[in-house]
Amino acid sequence: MSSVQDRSVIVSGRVRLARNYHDLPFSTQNSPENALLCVERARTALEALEEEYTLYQLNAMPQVERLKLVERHLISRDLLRNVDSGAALIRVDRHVSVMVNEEDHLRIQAIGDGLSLNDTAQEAFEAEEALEDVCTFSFDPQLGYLTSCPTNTGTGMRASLMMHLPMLTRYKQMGNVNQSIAKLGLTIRGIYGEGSEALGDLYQVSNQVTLGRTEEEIIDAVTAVGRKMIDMEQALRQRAMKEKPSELTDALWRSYGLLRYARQMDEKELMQHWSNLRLGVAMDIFQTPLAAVDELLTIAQSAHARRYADQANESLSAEQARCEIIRKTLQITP
Amino acid sequence: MLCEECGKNQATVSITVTTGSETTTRRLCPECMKKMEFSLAKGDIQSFLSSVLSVLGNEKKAEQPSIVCSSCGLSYAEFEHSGRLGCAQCYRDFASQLKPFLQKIHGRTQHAGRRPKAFVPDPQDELNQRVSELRRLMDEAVTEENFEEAARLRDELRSLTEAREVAGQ
Repeated sequence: MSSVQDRSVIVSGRVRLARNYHDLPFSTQNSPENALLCVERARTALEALEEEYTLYQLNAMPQVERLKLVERHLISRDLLRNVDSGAALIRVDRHVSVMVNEEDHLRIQAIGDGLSLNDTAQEAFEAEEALEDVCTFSFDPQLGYLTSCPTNTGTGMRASLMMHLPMLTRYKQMGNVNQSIAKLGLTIRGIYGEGSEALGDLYQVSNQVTLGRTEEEIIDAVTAVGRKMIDMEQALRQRAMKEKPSELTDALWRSYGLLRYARQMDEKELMQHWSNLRLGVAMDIFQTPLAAVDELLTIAQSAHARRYADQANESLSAEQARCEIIRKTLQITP
Repeated sequence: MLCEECGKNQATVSITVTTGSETTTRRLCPECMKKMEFSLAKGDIQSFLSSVLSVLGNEKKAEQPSIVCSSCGLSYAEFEHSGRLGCAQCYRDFASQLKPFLQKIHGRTQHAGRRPKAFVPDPQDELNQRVSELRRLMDEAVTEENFEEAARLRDELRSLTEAREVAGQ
């Protein structure tokens, strides 16, 4: 488990493994019949496990439901390009998901709460071993697990930490951070937003290199950088609180006020105030539980708000529904 | 596994060539191995080596857009365009083109880490992998001016290569 201190900066940790069945061409060259076979193999394999998995077949779901899975990070946007054959097997507790027929036959992903990436990896390995029991994976003694894209070959593993770094962003330190971690075979990028703008000050630190390093080495490197960044972010938070306390708290309370009273809000504005809300909770200024704030990150996104609006009796827009969701989550009576 | 030379027959023999810090293993079928032995017997060491070393990056080959995977039919040009390979055989058929590419992305070209449960390692491969790993570590130690560690690795490497020679006899 991660400590409270870690949780104030780290939102979640993820480990994903890319695997392909040894006897079939990769997804881009695969036939529709073979793609179905992949789904069937994966479904059968995961039935052997104690925890229950639910099968989601994209072609049998409305688009808004698919997007909700994307917003929960249970499937990738890339899987939506493969609506005909794309599927996901998701563990009922949502900690493990297996995408089928994405870029690789299987993308096994485990989600944890932060720096305990080793435990998270174990969950992914458990699913991997069950999947392997039904059919072995494409593997080469020199190149490791063979993947559709050579950037994933080797371990096929991507270990990542989702980090909330508002102060490192405000003090314009992210460029420097990126340069120094590139040398370690790691990379950092914004999770939401295009180009240089990272909405919500949310970043993902992950390994770039997958070949020639063991899973443990990869996890150790990502964890070490995660720890370093927690320290840097915390130091800047303390500095801001010491040097300009009223400036900082004013900005946080303004965002809190808007989240509390606004009646319609687009996603970009939400992300800006969400960041201040999370910072305020992390710094003990607001009393909202951190878990509720992080849940907001999912349930106030567009597809979730759209679905909420559709299900509400009145004719709500997604922007209006978003504000209702926020008030409910923050337990504010209207 | 199919022969890396003809891509048709089952590979049953493997040859390992060491040039500088690079260790390359090629897996061949008896037929192609015979051809190579023949060129070697003729004293034609050059053609023997060029055939083996094609794995290390043959620039002439890279210029030809006509290389096509013998299994899924994907051309190397298509891979260059999409960045996605078509099947496991692509890794073997495009091996000489991919090696510098993989080196550039990952900095290393030898897998370390998990293996399938059913995978049975070839002891000779294991030894070769350990040798290239030790070479890499030794180079790193030298770069970091950690000469004590480099010397220790050199000794370990020496005893391993001796063991390999003994095993090879």
